[in-house]
Amino acid sequence: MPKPPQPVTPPTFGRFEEIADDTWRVVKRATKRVAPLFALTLSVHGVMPTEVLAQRVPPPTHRGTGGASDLSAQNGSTRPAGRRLARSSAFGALSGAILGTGFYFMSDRGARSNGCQPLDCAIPFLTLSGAIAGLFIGREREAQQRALAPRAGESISFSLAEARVLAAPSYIDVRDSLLAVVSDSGAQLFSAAASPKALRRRAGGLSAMRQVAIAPDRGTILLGTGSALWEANLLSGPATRLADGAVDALATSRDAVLSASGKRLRFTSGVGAASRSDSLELSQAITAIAHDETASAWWVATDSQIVQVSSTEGRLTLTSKVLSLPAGARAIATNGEWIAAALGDAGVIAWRRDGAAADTQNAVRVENEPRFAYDLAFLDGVLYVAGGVDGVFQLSLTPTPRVVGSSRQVRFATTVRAGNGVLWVGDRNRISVVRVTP
Amino acid sequence: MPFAKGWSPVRVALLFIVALSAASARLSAQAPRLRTPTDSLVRSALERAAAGDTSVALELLERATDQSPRDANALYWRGLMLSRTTALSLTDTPRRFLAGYLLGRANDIDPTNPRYLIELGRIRLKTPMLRIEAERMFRKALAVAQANGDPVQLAEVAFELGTVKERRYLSGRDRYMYTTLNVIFDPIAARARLHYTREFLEHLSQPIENSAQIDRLDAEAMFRRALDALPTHAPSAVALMGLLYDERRFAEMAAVAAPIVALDTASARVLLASGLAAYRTGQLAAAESLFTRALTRFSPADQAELTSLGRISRQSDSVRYAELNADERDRTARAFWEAADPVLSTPENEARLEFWARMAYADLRFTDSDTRQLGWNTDRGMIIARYGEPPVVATFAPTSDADARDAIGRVITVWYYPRTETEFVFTGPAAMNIAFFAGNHRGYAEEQREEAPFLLDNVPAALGVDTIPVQLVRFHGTTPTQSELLVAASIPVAKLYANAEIDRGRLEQSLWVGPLAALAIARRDTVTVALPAPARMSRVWLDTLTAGANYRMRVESRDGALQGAVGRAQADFTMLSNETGRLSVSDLLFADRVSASRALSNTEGRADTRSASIGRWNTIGLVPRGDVTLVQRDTFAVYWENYGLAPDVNGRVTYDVRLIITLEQIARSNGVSRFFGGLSDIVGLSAEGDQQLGLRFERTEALEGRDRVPDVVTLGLGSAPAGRYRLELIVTERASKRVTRTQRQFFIRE
Repeated sequence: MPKPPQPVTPPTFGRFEEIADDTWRVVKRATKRVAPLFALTLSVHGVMPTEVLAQRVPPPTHRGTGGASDLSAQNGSTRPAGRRLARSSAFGALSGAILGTGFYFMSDRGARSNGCQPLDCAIPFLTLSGAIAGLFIGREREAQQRALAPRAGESISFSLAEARVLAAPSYIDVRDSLLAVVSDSGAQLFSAAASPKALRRRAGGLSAMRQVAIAPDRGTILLGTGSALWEANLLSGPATRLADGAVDALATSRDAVLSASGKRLRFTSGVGAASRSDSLELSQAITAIAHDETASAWWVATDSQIVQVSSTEGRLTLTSKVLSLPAGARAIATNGEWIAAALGDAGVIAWRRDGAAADTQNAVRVENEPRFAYDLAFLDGVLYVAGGVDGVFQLSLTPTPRVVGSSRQVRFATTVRAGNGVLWVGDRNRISVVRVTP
Repeated sequence: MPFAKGWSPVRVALLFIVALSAASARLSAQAPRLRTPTDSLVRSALERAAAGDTSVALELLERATDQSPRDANALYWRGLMLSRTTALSLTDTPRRFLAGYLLGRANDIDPTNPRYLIELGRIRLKTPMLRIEAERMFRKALAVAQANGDPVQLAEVAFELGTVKERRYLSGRDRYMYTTLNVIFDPIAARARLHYTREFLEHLSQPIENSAQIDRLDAEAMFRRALDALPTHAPSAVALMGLLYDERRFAEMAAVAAPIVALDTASARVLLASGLAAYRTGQLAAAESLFTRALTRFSPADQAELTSLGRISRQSDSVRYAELNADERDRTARAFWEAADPVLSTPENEARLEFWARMAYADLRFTDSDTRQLGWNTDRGMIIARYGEPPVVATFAPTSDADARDAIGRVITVWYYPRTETEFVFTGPAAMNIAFFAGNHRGYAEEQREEAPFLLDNVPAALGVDTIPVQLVRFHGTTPTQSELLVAASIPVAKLYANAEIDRGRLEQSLWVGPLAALAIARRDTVTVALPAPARMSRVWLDTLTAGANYRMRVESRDGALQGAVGRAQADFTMLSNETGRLSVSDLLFADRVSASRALSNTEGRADTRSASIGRWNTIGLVPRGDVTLVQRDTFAVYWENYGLAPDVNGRVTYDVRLIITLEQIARSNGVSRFFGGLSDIVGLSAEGDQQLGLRFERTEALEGRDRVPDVVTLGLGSAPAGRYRLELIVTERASKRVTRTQRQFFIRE
């Protein structure tokens, strides 16, 4: 019986069909086997940002190129993001490939594998999913670095020593070897040493403590509260009410005390029979006071200006020096060369002492960073600003005002003082005072 | 057919075409008069929509888009209106699909305007499974808006992008990680097992530091970008203030709100959030002013919601409150807040401020535009209003464990109040600011509501308030419409100054008296207290009030410079009515005798009942006691006045007096004695319930035109056991046999 005619298949087409069939089979099998792997990869992407990577927030110790004030160039990194992502993906792919290869050998070159074969399944898909996972992880790390890098200047790392406070510090003052801190829980004294130690609490029970200043020649601590100005001996004894009224600003110099309540300035110097006092009414509410050692005078800030006040022979007089402010000042700091003010969300403004006479054109400003300037202090000619959650900023005022860098080691810096070559910063996040050595 | 010269077929055809064209042109010229222009249709639609008639508005917009299918404005408004009338659900998909199609077309026609992409992004946000796509849309819109340089659009799109990040942050913040395998927080177990929540948070899980911090930073950057473009962009300001609040950056909150607060037309939500910031920084006057201003900016319905006492009352009370008319509600609210105010002497009502701050917080953190939920109406908002912000918050990531019904694909949020060891558990989808009570916690919240509908244990001003012992005594006044109120207070000065390290204090003492919801200062003075302070300071005030009227009285004593140096006493009472001729007595006044000349002999368990006429309490050497707690073997005087006694023909009144002292409850100091004492009380072995003193005497006195007959006895109870006693006075007029009685509780301590 003659054989029925067989369909003639061109060899090339038959080969193509075979290849297509094989490929489709591999794809189907691979999809079936590797789908859980993809799901795992995606879940890694979903979980990583919150549960794993959140613990890996890098400490801000990286020193960038720094120096420039252009925000776009100050993300603390010089390596392009694309290269970092590629490297991360490659690392993931390599890890996947190593796993796949391990599986290849563990399964006796695939002989003991009854499902996903090493060469056509495990290695390619583990490599691929590793690359994807690496990409996601890289993206997340990229986002972290971008978010945590200083927006201006370089990331600075300080040497720190910390002392816990009873409640979030509202205000601090440092003189010689003594550090005073006020919080909602009262006033505390610390030794301003390399390793700060709590010494004693003072004037317990007072409410709404806002200001503190140490008066070294009086041997006392001055406390400004929401209802009065109080004075307590540094060592022992009860506090005495010096003046009534909420204290909005306070500063001391040797045995002199200048405080503000609303628009009124109150001055007291000397003790006992030698005590003298005076007061002065300004046209606007007073927001900050600082004593200027260089000029032996006081700077008093209101919502729109800073005025200089002298206290000669116990009498307060306004001098002719007036500095215009673009916004209300929260704090004033001076050194031999500069007078500077923290303006909250309006940044920092400073005047060179030589040109500080009624000429706002001489003012220099750093406006965008920190986002909110709480307080500031000069240390060795450098201006440091407490920038809230953005940490402590180091500013350079010459030749052009700029942010040199910042450190987020202090997580919520709201108050800063300089003394004995170091900075003291109040941290409202960790409820502590931090000794910062630049 | 022959044509005249010059009228060739071609020429005729041309003329026909020209004529047709002319007619067509004329018709075209008339067309605008017949058809409404598209712009006009859109305008009308927007007017109808503003008037609340959305369906007609949509019909008009449909006509507009049919008429001008390439009018991007018409397409936009129709797409927008369709989009805005959908909610986050699958059922609205066709409508959203159409809206997306219209907006997509509009974007194709006018790709330089980002508003289409913004709305497309919002549609994606409302579409389950496509929410993740929204961010891409917004980023495209941001690029277009930046190119345009339009600050309003830039602010809008930056706000939307910030909101996408903020939702992720809100979902991932306060995240705890399970530290033990196969253990998942169980909301049911949290209710069923004692200390479950505390132990779970301490031992089976641990907080993840900086969780969702990146999303928070991204969101903050976006909101700031929106405000840089448009500093008065209220939604961005509110959102940014929410982020700042979470980090306790209150001064920065105030700075963000400042440009908007300065406007007369400031957004209510911004004012509310600013009030919250001011409250947290201790600027109570500013906070009150901002809250009040915010309330006036809300709609009347929202105002009623915000100020309703229903949410902080027990269920039955809230039903009654809802049934009141507007005036009654207002009166009730004023009386409630007056009673709740921890210290009347301060200018602000700290309790009401705390309530407003809680409402502001609920609005700031739980209001969600996607689901159109108002923060204070959510489950979480309700708990915040009643108990304040939870000291401990923990969130747990969604799981796929089939046994954990509330946690499958949902974030579990635990609010824990350690002081009362109370917890409320919520569950909600990830990356959406929605959460509802989990498990049986809704029922538990209702139980808690019955027990404690409103707690102020997080308010410093309310926490340290001491109780001032006070004795209220009501006498008849000198005219029928008047009545006298004697208030004796025993101020615990030493206790108030116990923690004060100052040399001298200034103690302000005040008496407030008035009808409910209208308490007014009656007396106020300040005394200087040299420290260490004496244990107690006695104050006596006498006031004349309207007879028979209802009153509230508050005694306060505070040193404003100190934390917790506050004491108060409050009572609601009705003054005696002076019915002429009716036999009655005043309240019993417990007093110490200080005048030796009028001192009467007293012995243990006996009383002096001399019948000589005496003057009123303030003329016979009596010092009213603020504290009616006596020490064993103490002696004390009891004074009262008899009214309405009818004189006989000789102008004399004769009446019997019975004084009965009953031991109501023995004070037992420790658990063992309480147990055995309780047993002996039951079987009648103890003195509880016994009359400790029964005293009866007869008095005859010449009335001599007086409207009252004062009486005083001096008592001593010897070594009567410590406890709570009741002194009952019964006066019987001999002739008429009319009887009147009164009583007062007092205490004896060892």
